[in-house]
Amino acid sequence: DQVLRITASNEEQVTLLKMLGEKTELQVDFWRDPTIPGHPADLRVPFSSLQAVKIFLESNGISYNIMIEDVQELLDEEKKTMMKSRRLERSTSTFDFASYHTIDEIYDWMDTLVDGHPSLVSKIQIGQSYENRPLYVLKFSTGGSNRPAIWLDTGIHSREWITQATGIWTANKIAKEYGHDPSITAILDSMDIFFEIVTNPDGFAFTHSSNRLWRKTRSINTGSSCVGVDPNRNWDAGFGGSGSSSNPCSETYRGPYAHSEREVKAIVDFIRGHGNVKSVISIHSYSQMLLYPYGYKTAPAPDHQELNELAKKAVSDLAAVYGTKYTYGSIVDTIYLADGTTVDWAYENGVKYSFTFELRDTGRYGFLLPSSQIIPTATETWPALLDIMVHVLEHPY
Amino acid sequence: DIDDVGRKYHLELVLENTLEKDSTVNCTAEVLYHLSNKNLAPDVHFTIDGELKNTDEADKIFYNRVKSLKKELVAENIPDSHGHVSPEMEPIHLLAWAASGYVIWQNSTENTNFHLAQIKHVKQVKRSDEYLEFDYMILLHEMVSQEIIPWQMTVLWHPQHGVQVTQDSRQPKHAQE
Repeated sequence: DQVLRITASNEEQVTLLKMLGEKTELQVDFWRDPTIPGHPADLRVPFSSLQAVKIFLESNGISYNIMIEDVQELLDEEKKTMMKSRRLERSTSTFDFASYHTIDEIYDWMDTLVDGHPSLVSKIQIGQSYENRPLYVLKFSTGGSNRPAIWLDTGIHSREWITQATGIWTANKIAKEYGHDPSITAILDSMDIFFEIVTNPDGFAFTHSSNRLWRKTRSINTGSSCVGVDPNRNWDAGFGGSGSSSNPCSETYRGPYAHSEREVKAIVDFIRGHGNVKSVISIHSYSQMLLYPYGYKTAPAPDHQELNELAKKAVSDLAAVYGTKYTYGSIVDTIYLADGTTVDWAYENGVKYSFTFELRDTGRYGFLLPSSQIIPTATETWPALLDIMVHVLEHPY
Repeated sequence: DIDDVGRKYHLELVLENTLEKDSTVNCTAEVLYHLSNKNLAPDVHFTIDGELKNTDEADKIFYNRVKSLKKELVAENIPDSHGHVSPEMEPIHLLAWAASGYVIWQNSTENTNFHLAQIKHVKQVKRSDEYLEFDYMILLHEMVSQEIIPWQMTVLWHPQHGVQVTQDSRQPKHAQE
């Protein structure tokens, strides 16, 4: 079908046009009715009547041009766009950030985030879990080549559900605020952000299917009926000390050797391979703390002073939102001795700005934090994250 | 540090009513961890500066509600995976919290930090007297070891006589993991 734009040049032609519309056998219809000479009329003509209509117009000297060559094509295009935006609408703006989700829901949502911000966000796979689940990382980048980067991870301990939920909200916030919030815009204009939201997918799936309080990976330990390794004791930094356990049945089992866990090795390889990661922020719950190295020894880290100042500022800005009080300091001073941790490894591998968050609460609900606290938690954590990222941006090394 | 005895802590704390955040009361306490017998619960002495909120009304409502149930109360997973506690179960949750406080006290050392993680299961036990009795299976989270420890406790409660843990025992971790 085509749509013709017809311009009658006198009253007689206007009458002729109106008569054309009345010929039911032609099955034409005016999208814009003929009115007075000089004013265009738009006429949809089915394919079968095209030739007849054109001959009629030409033989009567009525000028016209083809406005729409193929109506069906336009309809198909529109349908596609509608379906796409309906899918998007169903997703990025109707995704329920205020509830906890399954791994499938989170992985689907990641795709919609990428679809909604294709020039900013991409999804990369850095490896596979023990049970062969993909390990996905969201990359936020405005271009460049191997720009200095910030690494964020949530959910390394699967029972800490507030962290994956905060991760989703935060990733969405980063995508939304680029080009609006001056801080995140300045950061992304010079740096990249890599965000792994489901860092321990096997454990996370297990918290949904079998044991809500599962912490570790789900790797099988030879010679033991107990499953799993504590992924935050498996890093090669002070590995094997008294801040971890050699017992496979323990929640802080360090694993047979450093980086034995695929989930950990994938990040190690990624950060080493990237070569330009300037900050690692690993997010846990609960206790309401902001921590920096070391966990495996009491000696203060060389950058202790700077990290402490930055933590102090971040915690203050977090408290300003809803009054939530955080303590801060090195891991060993503030929480307990822990070896083989993510941030100690990062710090000892050239990543100066290495921090761990312990999100809400302080024990009332613990791991079972009500979903009504997801958005408040993510909202208050955001300025603290920004403080760290801005500091990283402003202190290149 | 007290030679040959143990270590004593002087604490000044503020108690906050979790149901009414603005309601706070000052408290001072002394906690003595024994040197010799590590299995002895720490000695605790405290004074509360002011008054705790009167809960007679709410206590009575809950007491009468449970007393008038046709079948013994049974529930599990409080809070649920999403952190939700139904309004009817909130008093059961609070009772467990108070009772677990006793269990935690009895099992604490200077190197432990326990929190009630979840009520796995609770069952009301019928009694012929005026007390309410509940048999709880709770999960305690110990922060330093990060372990989840199942614990059984039998709890007695009466509006005028308060909370009592008459029996409790640590349970083995399931070999299912």
